[in-house]
Amino acid sequence: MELGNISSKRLTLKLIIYIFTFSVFFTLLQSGIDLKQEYDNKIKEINNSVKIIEDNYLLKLSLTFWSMDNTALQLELNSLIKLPGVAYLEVLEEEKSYITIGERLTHDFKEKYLNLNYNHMNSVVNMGKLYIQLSYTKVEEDIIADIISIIIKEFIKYFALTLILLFVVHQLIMRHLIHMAEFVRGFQVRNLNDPLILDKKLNKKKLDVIDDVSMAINQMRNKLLVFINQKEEVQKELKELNQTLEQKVKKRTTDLTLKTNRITDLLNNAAQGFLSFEKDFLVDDEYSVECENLLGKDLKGKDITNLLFDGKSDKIDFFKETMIDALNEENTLTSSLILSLLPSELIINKRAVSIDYKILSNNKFMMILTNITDKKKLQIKIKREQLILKMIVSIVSDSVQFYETKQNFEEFCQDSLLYINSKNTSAVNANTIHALFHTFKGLFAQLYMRDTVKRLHDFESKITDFIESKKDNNDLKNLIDSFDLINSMNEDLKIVAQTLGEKFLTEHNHIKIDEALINKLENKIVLFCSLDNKQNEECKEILNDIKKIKNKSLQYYLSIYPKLCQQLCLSLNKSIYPFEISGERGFFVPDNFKPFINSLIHVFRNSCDHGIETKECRLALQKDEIGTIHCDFKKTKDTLTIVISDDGKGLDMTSLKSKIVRNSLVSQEKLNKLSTSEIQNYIFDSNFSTNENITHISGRGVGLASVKTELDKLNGIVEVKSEVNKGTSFIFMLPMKNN
Amino acid sequence: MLNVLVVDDSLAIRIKMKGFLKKLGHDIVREAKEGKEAIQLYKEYAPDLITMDISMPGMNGVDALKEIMEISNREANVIMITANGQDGIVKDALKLGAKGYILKPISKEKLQDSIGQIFPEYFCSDNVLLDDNDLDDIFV
Amino acid sequence: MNDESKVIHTYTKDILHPIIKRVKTYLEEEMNIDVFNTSDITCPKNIHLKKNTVMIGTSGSIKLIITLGFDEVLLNKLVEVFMEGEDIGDCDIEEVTNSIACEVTNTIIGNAIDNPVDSSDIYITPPVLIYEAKTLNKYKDSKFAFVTFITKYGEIELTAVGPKEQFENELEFKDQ
Repeated sequence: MELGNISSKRLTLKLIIYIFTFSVFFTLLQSGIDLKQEYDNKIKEINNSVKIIEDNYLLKLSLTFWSMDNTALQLELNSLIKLPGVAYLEVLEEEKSYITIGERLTHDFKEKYLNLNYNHMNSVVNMGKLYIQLSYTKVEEDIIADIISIIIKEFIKYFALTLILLFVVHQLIMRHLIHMAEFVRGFQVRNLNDPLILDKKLNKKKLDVIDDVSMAINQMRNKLLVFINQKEEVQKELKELNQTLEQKVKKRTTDLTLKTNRITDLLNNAAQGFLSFEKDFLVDDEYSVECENLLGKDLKGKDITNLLFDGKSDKIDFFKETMIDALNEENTLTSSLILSLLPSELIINKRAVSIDYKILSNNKFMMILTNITDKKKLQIKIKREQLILKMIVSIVSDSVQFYETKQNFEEFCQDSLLYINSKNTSAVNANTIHALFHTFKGLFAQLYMRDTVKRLHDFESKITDFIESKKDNNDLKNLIDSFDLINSMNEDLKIVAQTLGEKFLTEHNHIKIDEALINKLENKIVLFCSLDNKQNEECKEILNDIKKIKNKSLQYYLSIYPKLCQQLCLSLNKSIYPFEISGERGFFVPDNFKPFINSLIHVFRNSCDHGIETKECRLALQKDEIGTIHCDFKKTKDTLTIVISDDGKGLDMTSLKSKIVRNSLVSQEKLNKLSTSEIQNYIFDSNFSTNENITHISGRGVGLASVKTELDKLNGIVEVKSEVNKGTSFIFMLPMKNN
Repeated sequence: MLNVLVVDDSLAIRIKMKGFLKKLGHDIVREAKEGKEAIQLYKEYAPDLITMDISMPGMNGVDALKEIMEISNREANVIMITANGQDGIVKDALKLGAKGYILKPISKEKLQDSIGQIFPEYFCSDNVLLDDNDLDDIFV
Repeated sequence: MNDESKVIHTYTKDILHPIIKRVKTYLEEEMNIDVFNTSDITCPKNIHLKKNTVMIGTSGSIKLIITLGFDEVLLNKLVEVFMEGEDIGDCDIEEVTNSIACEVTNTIIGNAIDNPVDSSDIYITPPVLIYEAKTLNKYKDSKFAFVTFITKYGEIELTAVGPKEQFENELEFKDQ
């Protein structure tokens, strides 16, 4: 409101000023012109007065003056002075003032001398002059008065005019303008409902500008209203859509996050490194955890080629070039072939890593890294084992060669210095030794004794160097000493001993002799001894020794079984205490006993397989977790007794009986009549097995039968003693004559 | 059964290659000892497949490949054989249009794989399975 | 290290060692022949080449002549393994033997050669069989390297000689 007033005041002020200025100007102009005219007229009049006087009154005056009628003269002068502008009249007679009227002016006048001439008898007599003083002062005063009155009038006029104007303008225009201004200012987007209504009569036929404007404003208002309503509706819709969208997005995001998490989990647990990158070879944000294990932490944005090739620029260049080539190649076959040129295995950070390359559909590369260090180490290990195996096999299969070479080399080591013949030059000696080394090297090489070969080769080169260096025999001697030859084979022999046993190495003290030869020898000696009675004692001794050569002790034959049992039990996941064969050490059995003793393997096998129970079983039965197997033999008088016993579960009498019946070995009635031991003896029957399942160890039932067969051949008998859950004992008794 | 042209300057390799191809059930159309001969034979016999040694006296394998590709409008099926593991040479051959490469020493399996990549009907390395013996040994 | 030994060192580490390794792996894996031992790399003044020696040259930024010599028995074994299951037909056995010697050499060197200097490719010439045993004498700037491989069937000798320009095709030393 206030503003409205001020601005309207300004406007009206402007208005006033304009009107005022212009009209004042014009009025002044007009008035000026008028006044000027009037002034001119008055001046003219005044000037005319002289003329009038001159024309009209001068004669009379002259006459009067002639007649010396002062009163009349005075009267005439009086009437003359009433003429406009005449201020002083003076009749002069011979330059002397005769009669005056008015006041003589000292300034601001115009004077005129008129001759007073009288026409007397046809002669003109100048009687004097009439001195006229015209004063314009009055005119000027009048004019000034006029001006002042005009000004005052104007002032009043304008004042009134202004007020009227103000009023009119305000009424017609200002008021509405202010209203409109207020209205528009008061335009609140939410409050458009009230239209602008001006406080004036709206005559639809006689619309003026203000009406136009107000109507326009109202129209605008309407449009705005509509528009705003529309907008509000649209906004509402938008809001709803937005909400729906947000919900959808939220759901999708959670779904996506879930999926991504699952996939990330999978990838991270796959123990394979998955990573991807674009043409710039910088690792993408998402990669699996294993990548960090293989390539280092924080791989995001790092250059993959640096991580793989550790700065070897030519490899990096080739890698990048090839990858880009593969990417650009349209043909998928060619592309994959090009990719196959890339390294499929690399060593990164001391780990062996296998790498798979793929090109993804969005022009990206993917690499799948797998840690194969373990695999590689295993391969190496296997390789080494294979070589060791080769060595063992060749040593065993070529054992004669082995012992011979070994012995020869040992001799060489002891005698090595003998090869340094002081009569020869060091070069000659060295050459000899070199040749020897070379020969041994070859021999050991054939036996795959790699370590020994390596050392010998080393010595060989050192000898070669020595030859070139041209030192003397003494230096050669020192060199040979430094080799420590005697220990050259140690590493390889250690492995042999571990695998084949210490005995194997020392066994070469034995000679292999053809058995037929021994028999021949024996027979000859027997013959000889029988012929020569004197040497009886010695003959006996000789024959004994021969027998000893041929025969091995029972100990010896049975000695394989303890180890066998251990191995068997291990493979069956059972445990037994290690045991030894107890019995006379130097006790010899004849050759024909060998098959029987060999067949005893079945008994031991049975003990391990069927006798000894598993640890859990034994614990449950409150037995010692670890089982026991015994084997001992005794010679009494004419009988050799061999006992093999275990503390296992014993023979199952029930299933034994049923099996006997089932296999129709004996009818049920007969069975009932048999004693326990008789029943137990049936286990030696061929094709008998209480074991339903045939394992690869036993179960076929053939084993014990063959024992029986061999036993029968030797006229021996067997007794079985078995108690459920306590154990089983096999007692073999063989007749054996004293030597 | 494919008709194959074997190109290699080494007699031993040609014998071996023929052996492998026969075992894989393909037919050897001809042999060539060097590049020019190979091109000539290609023009004459238009074999389904060519095995091409890279290093040969006279015209080498890559040059011969180039010409054969031109003649056949890149449709000829050529497998490069090379002892040289250097990838630049192999890549050049691949870019010229070779459809496979085998690094010496050659094996029947490698040959089968390469042929299988070009002629999918002969591809069966995915079907290598464990047999019963393998199963026994694996789970010991 | 002075220049000569530097060069030899490079040759040794980057060229010879891969070849040596490849000889071993090739024999063991492809031919099932075990290499018991490998000699050290020596630089003798002269080398006496075996009867069955194959020569291969390299070109590119590294120029060498490499020879691989086989003992007779060993070579026969190689032929046996290589041609296992194949019918040689009416081919000359000697031709086949020579071809195999060349092929084995070509495969080994080809597989193993790698450029240590820059990443440009090294080209190897087709292999050439040297029929008569030759003696190589070290002369001035030529650099020799010599390695022996010991197997059950015999030995293999590897020599590397460079630079190439100093030799003609039959390994007669070119007069300066």
